[in-house]
Amino acid sequence: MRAVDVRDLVVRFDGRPVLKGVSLSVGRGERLAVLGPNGSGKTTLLRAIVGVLEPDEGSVEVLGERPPVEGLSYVPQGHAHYEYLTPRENLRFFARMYGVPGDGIDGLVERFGLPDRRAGELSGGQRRRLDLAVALLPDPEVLILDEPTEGLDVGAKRDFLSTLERVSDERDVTVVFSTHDPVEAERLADRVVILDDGRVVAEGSPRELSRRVCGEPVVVVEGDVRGEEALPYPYTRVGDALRVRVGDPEEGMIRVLETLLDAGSRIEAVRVEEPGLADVLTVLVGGEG
Amino acid sequence: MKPGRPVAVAVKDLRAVSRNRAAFFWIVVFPVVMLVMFKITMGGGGFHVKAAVVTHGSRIARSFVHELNGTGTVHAVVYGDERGALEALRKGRVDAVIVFPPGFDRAVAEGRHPTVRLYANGNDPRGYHAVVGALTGALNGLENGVRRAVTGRLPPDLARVIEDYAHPFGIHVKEVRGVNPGAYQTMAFLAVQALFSASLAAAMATIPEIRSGTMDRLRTTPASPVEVLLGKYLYTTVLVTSGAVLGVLVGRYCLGIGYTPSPTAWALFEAAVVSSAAVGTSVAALLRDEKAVNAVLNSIAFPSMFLGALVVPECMVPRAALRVVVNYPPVTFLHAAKLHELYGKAPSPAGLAVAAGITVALVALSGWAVSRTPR
Repeated sequence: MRAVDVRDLVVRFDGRPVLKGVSLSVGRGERLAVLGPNGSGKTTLLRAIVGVLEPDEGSVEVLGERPPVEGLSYVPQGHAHYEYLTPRENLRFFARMYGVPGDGIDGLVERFGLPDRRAGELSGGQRRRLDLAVALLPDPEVLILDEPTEGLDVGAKRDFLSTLERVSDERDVTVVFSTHDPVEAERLADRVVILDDGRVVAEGSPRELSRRVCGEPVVVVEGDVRGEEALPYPYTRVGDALRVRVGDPEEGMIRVLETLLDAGSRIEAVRVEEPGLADVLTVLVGGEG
Repeated sequence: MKPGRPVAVAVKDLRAVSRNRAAFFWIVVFPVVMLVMFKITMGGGGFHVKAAVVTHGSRIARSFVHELNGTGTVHAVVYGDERGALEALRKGRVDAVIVFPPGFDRAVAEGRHPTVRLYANGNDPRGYHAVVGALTGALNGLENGVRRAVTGRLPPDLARVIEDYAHPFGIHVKEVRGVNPGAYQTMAFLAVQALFSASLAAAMATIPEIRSGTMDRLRTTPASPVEVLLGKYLYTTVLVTSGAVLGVLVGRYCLGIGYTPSPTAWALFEAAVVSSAAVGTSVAALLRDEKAVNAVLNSIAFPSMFLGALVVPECMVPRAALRVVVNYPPVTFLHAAKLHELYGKAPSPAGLAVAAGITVALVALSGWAVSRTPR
């Protein structure tokens, strides 16, 4: 049984299709990033997955059932907690709503470094950590997060992603999160779904996607380069630089260097140019992110 | 359904509102301030008139001025000429001008039927009627006194005949207190609580849930929409009833309003609170914008208070308007409560049943609006 299974999902707002037949599947323990520009349908897709939005067509199953289901936790966009309550009071309230005992609350407060002040007075990073702590209350099997690092500064974003990574590893929880930041998706996700204008335009691991869409990594060698005709890879020469398209950059770089040095090259610089998800987005959706 | 969940929602909302100073002011403090205003403006003790009296040397007029100043309600000031007195009236320095014509005493003695002129400023229509009513009464008293003085010089039989023909009947004004003296201001205050505070409290507890995403979050928990909605109604009822009890206590112990609403009035008040909360929740869930919700709820609450004759006397409200507005369920309940408390009139079961039916429909509407998928 897959953790999340979405088939031919269509959602319309006032008759206008926002999701146009989206299908995706997430395995248990997998981390999936839904990447796409603003307005591509990411939030709509996640809201349909958690069951707060009824599909117009198609189906959604979470843990083999129609959502909302037990074992699923959702962190909506923004600050989805009560700003006039302290983190502890927020956690106590949501524990009642989830129907779980509140004995783990002190541990969560301590572990997530949440001060005993009203949530409205906390920093953006602390508030996002509170959102995550609330989501972990029912000990979920599937965690859905909508743009969890939106509005955070670089430091807070890094801290939050580390916390999320740690939590998902420790609890073996399936994580589906939306973002328009390719770096964030690359860092955290096992697999990425790129959404544009309500359709899935690409899907795969960050490396697979990069290579499939933007081509294989390129080893760039600069200096007095000789013997390139003996290379087992395709290459192009651009001025003094030799650009060699290799399959695996680690193995490829060694073979390229051995071949060129054997032919008497005097190499001044070597680097690997590997395309990333940012390049993928540029190719697929015009660089918006 | 777990009973603990609605209670948890209510406790959470009460805790939040107690820390939100602006919301707390509008929902709890503002209605009490209104009660003080009602006591001051409608309590009956504050009526006072400043009258300019142009005597033209009349002894009768001077004695009238002395009598007026002894009433405690009218403060009479003697003016030397009519033009100056009328100018003072136009400028609002006095509320009325009474002009005794030159040679008034002599004209009275000679039976020439002189005319005393009474002027009042018509810019404030209600004030005009109140001032004219008060001073006409005082002048009627003076006329009676003068007539008795004149007829007193005649043989008793003749005097009696003249008295009887001049005044075939007498008028004696007496105040009859209603069933609950002091109920008027308190019922007006309860109307503000139910119509204004209840709808606002329910709306303010709903909008942030929708806007921040906590409502979406709650919908993914095992808590059902009914449990969440029940919590909202429980919160609104507890908050508004606490404000109402506070107001009644302030009225009783600080403002000297010796009245406590009957159990029937409280029951009708609670029905009005639920009905009004349903309107507030529905409007909040449908509009999802704080400013728009405030505008709509105020546009409903304030005309209802006035046209439903809940904060003004019924005689001041056009009958046609009252007939329409009284069908709005919160007004139906509050109007029935007011009639019960002021005049001991039993509420009409049919009217209340219709209002209760509409209230149930409104609660259902609020449930649909809250659980409706926002797109």
